[in-house]
Amino acid sequence: MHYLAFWQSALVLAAVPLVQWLWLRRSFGVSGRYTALVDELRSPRSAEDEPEMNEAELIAAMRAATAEAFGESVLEAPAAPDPAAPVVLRAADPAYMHWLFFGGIAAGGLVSALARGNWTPTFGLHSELFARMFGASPVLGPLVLVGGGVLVGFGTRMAGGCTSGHGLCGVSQFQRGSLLATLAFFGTGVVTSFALRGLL
Amino acid sequence: MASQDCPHMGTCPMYPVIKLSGSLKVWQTRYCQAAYAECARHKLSVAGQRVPQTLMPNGAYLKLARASSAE
Repeated sequence: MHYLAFWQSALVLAAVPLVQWLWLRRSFGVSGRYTALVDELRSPRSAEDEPEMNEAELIAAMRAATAEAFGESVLEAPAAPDPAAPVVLRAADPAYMHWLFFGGIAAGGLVSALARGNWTPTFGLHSELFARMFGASPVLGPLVLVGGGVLVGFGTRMAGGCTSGHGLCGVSQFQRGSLLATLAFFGTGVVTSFALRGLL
Repeated sequence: MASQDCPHMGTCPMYPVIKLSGSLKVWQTRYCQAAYAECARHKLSVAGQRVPQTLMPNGAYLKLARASSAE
């Protein structure tokens, strides 16, 4: 299989959180999107629940909440919005935005696979190791993938993010928790991969 | 020293607001980098429940000044 050079991949991956932050002022996280979609389907929220605030309104509201919780003395003198914090708390995305997001991921993967010219639908992964472990069964392969997905969902929920949220956005902000999380899931993946190759 | 940082700092939408504004850093020092287990947002998140965008770490909700000033 042909892979991009490491620096080409690095540039693309670095651009993802950068564009996301500069354009949307939000962290990028696939598991977070998925959680938001499930929440939205479970109980749709209204505009009253999640008011949209511009920067000045947000900072004013947060200063008021801060003064209420800790007293006026903790606030810095200028009451104007901090120019270093051009952040806007936006109303939650409607459900169709989440569908669009996941549709984009699927479409991107499909386009990439088709562009390689040799794509064929499969019940498993295009991987020798996977085929050796689970064969080409139309039942076992999907079951293993669904089981893996459930474990990933459990882990990302527990860790508060996944490879995109922690690995791209959190690490790019030098968050210690994200660095540890990324170290844990990549380290575990490498060890597991070597262990399986050694055993099989 | 063991890290006291909230593991959700990288993904919490409220953290960047708190982090970048000097007046609001008290939340960071009290919750995000210390007693994050007591953070109302963290509690809801680990319980698998929706975290309202306007929920503050102490359980209070942001009040939008626009609504009252318009009346």
